[in-house]
Amino acid sequence: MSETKKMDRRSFLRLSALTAGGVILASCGKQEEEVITPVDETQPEDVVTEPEDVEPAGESPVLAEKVASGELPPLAERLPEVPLVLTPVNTIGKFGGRMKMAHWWHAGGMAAGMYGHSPLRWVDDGLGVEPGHVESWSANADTSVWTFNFRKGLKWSDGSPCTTADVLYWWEEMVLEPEHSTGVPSELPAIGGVLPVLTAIDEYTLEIKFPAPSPLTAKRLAMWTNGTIGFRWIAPAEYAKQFNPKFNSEYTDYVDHDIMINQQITPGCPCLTAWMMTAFTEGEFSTWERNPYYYCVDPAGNQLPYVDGVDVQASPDAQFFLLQVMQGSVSWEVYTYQLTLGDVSTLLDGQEAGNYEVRFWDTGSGTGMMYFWNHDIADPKRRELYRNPKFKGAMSLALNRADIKRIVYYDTGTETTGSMSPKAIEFNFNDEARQHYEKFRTLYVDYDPERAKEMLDEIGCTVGDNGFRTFPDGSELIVRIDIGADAAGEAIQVLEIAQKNWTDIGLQIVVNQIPPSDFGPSWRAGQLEFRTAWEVGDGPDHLLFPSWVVADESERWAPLCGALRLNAGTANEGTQLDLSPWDRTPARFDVNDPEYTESAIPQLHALYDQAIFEPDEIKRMELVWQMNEIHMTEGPYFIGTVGNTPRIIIVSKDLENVPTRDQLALGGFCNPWIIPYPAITNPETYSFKNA
Amino acid sequence: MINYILRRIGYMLVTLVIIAVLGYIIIELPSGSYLEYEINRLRQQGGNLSQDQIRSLEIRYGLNDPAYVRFWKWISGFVVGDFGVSFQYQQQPVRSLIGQRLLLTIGISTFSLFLAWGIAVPVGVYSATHRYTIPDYIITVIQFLGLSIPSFLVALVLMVFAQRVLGQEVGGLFSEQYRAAPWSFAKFADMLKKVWIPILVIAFGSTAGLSRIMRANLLDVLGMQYIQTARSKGLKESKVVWKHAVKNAMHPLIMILGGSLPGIISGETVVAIVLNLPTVGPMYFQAQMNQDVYLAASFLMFLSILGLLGNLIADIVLAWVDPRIRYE
Repeated sequence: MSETKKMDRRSFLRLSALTAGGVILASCGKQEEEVITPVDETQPEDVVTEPEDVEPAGESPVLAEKVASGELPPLAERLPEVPLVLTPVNTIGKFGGRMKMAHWWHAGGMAAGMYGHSPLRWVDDGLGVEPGHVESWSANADTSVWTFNFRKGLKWSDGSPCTTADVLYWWEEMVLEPEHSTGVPSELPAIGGVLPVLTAIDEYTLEIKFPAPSPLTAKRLAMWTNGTIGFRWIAPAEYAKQFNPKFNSEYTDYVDHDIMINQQITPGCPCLTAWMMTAFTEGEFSTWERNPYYYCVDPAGNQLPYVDGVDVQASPDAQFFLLQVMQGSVSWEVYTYQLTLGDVSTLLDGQEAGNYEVRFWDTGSGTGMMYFWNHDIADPKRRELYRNPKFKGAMSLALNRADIKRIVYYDTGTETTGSMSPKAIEFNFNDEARQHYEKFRTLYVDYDPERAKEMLDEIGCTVGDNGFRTFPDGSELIVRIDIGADAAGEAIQVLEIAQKNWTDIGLQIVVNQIPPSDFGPSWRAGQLEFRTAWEVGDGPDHLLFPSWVVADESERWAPLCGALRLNAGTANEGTQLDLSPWDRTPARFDVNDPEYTESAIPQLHALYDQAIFEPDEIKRMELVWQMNEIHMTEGPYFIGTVGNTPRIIIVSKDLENVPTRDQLALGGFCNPWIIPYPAITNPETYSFKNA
Repeated sequence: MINYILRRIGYMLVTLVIIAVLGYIIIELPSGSYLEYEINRLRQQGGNLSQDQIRSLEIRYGLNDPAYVRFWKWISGFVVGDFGVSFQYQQQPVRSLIGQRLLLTIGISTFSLFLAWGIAVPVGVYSATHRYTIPDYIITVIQFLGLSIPSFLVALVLMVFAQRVLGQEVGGLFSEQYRAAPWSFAKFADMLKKVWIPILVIAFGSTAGLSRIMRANLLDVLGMQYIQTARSKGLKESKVVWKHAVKNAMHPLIMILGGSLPGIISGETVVAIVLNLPTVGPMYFQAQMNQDVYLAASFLMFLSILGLLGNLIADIVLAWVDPRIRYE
């Protein structure tokens, strides 16, 4: 028994080494030719159209039967004039079969795997943007006016036409309508207080006009799977109006409306995704059948998806999920959040019996388990210390990342100081970009406790009478690590090592567990000081989801600077100036507060504001590098441990066209939700070998 | 008798009101609100909430209303069967979330309760009347195992056993093809194939406890003088034990029965989480974790109602078993 275990462990380690090697490959040479072609969406002549003209040919026998019996119109009438062509990674598939899935997040698991509601789609792990349910798009010269051409003949899953009116319904009834607003999404932001204007030129032409250049619009619209994850973008207007109190006096509020148009929980709600939900019980199961009107075909003209249906069961518990996998009840799974790398040997053991294969895709994490100081903590003495690059650098140098990598991450991933995702385009664009990343990654990555001690001595944090280091003024210094009481095993494991490392250089460390619901308010108010939670995994472009880089909201490393941005342009701006920033509601800096102006954050904010309006991609990237440089000189604002660790992927041996790591453009980029994994791998092209 | 019951029901209503108020206060006590959970969830997905969106969520969930307004909204709906909406489950009504789960839970728990009692009483009687014999020792060992092994561990072991040895598909209560199907004999038969694991697990722990109590009580009673009197009258031993001794040794068990009604809902939580059962335990647990106040408070009310009902039933049964008890 122990003998076989050892073998498995060894083969796993070998595999991990390969994975790690692959990472280095991915970040060094491999993509040189491919990477340098980001879709330049700035010029009007760059309208992207379909690469091939494919005649509709095949359809699932299930649907063919319905057509024969007159239940459904023929295929040609169900598809738009120009369907979207998705190419399977291996081979043209066979129709039929049902996939079994066990989701950790029951209601959303399928939504994360289906890109159907998205107007545009990321391809190649975020290196490019291609059409989704929109057929083509263009922008004017300064990128302030965008035109989207819908597919003529596009239909919802109930057969009703899908047009620009469905986008406007979302915008007018669910964003602009004050009684029923989910808020303006940051993907279509107000600029200087002015919202973009959405106009339906006709049924199939949508125009979005911004008050200023908005070069990132195409990339932003490719983010998320939309519908129920991220911003909604589109809603079945005619169907939804039945439940809208404005159009139907039977309803007095929007509760039913929001439930009925939620494709995640309401079977029969019209959708644009490959499969549509036909049965659902919260926390138990859901059943999905193929959408007969799905607008995608394979290169041979066969309507996708290949697989007829999906049976999902809710599976929040790790052990339960493991057992489901091992008994062969899971056709494939990418959201294996319940599992840790420690489960890999068990999973490998069961591969034969359970008829599945374990694969590894890169997470693209820029940090692994991470730490960050509260840049805006209320206590002035701590604030000064926690803003001092030498103090932060010393804490980073004291971390034994090799230990963490070996013990917590089973020797996978890459040790890193902590940055945005190594997959980000700003780190992969060319040689200079790659050097830029290496500089960032290696900044304080070495395990060098002696140097760390020297740096602390240099800033006056010398060892006091009790054997621990003090504040520069000689008073007692206790570094408190704030951690949510619900923190996962990985956070605790890393913490044990980190705590020892920091104690070794003479820091007095206290771990402070906080009830999860209490964490946010205390952090935002500047009461908490040094936090471990989350990972930085964002990309593919620093500017799309910039919160870790520029402090634009109050949950991350600079809550009061972020709150300044959140409240800019609202009624709060410029009020409560007589109060201390920490006594304001919400706690925030004003643009003139010295705590803000004397930090490096105004520079970051200014660079960001310049970058998002910069139409030239290369110039944008240079601005991002400048922002990263500020992180390197004034930071690190957050420190990582081991980045880009692998995600465990389960694939049934019967399933075809699920990419291997090598078939993914960057080896995978599973972490960020804005690049929707697994949707980006086109599960509609997965098929059963023996269907 | 009728008067007594009516009076008790009156007390119950007063108690329920107090429980509702106190329970609601306790559920709301931790700082932060459901919104924190939501923000966190979106963060983990990499999402960002603008101040705008946070405000609109606050309005939508009524989180800015003072606590007593929210309490009143909920409790006034509760009495007429509208339990409010759940936050964490996309605003679905609490009633539809609880519905079938409640039935399945009551089904499973009642069944395991009967099973536990059906085994515990005879086993307890046997080991009391055969004290310090080999069978008694064996029973005692099993009882202590049952008391000391946590139920989730038993569940895990049984699950692995069922999968590896019996080659059974485990997890949940229904096989795939029946999950969405309406109730039918085939679906019921399918459920029986899976439901034995949870029933066994839940019954295992409680059988052990109950039979220990039964044994101890019966031993006490068997030593009493009226038992000797009965024996000296020449009654058959079985009659002495079952008619005279067991009846009087049942009192504590009946009192426990009263307390175990709420356990029907919440007792199996850990087991249900491990076995992925569609019962109320896991949902109640999640609701508490995420400050899903209406869902949690509604569960709390059901638990309290069952607890009070259980006590009432226990009192009535006790009075029926024991003529010495009066209704004054």
